[in-house]
Amino acid sequence: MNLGRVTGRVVCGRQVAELGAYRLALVQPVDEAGADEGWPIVAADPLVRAAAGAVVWYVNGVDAVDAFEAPQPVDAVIVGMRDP
Amino acid sequence: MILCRVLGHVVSSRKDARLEGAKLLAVVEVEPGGAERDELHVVADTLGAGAGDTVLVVIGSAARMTGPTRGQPIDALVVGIVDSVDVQA
Repeated sequence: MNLGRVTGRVVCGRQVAELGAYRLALVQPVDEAGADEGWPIVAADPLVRAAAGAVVWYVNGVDAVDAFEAPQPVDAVIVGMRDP
Repeated sequence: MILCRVLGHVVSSRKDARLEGAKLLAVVEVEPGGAERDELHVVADTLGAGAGDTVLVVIGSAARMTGPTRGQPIDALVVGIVDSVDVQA
């Protein structure tokens, strides 16, 4: 799993049906000290509803597909929020 | 997923039979603020995105997890046409 900081939201006007109604969070990957690492990504947030500024765990790649009951066209998903 | 901007269509006459009818786009990665990065991709599109649109692109096997793309030899798909990117922190 990867650590990231939620920096905002993305809203799509049109999307594939299988994407569902998940919130889409902008996530800046960070290291354990909280420093930015690499480029921001967009992750689905079906569980924790992380607000901007929250530090979250996310999985990406093929593992993200397994975070859902049925396969979803999602390659990054937030699976937990780090306690403040 | 990654944010990209659509540059235009990619036309290919000779291709895998499972890509017949598929629409392919050339896109460039963009930062949340809209600045382009030097990363180009060719992605499949089932939503009708056009040049200049900001799109959400899924990479890897997840691109095949929709009805129209199941079983297609693709590794990148437009899953959303972006209305707004709201940077708050």
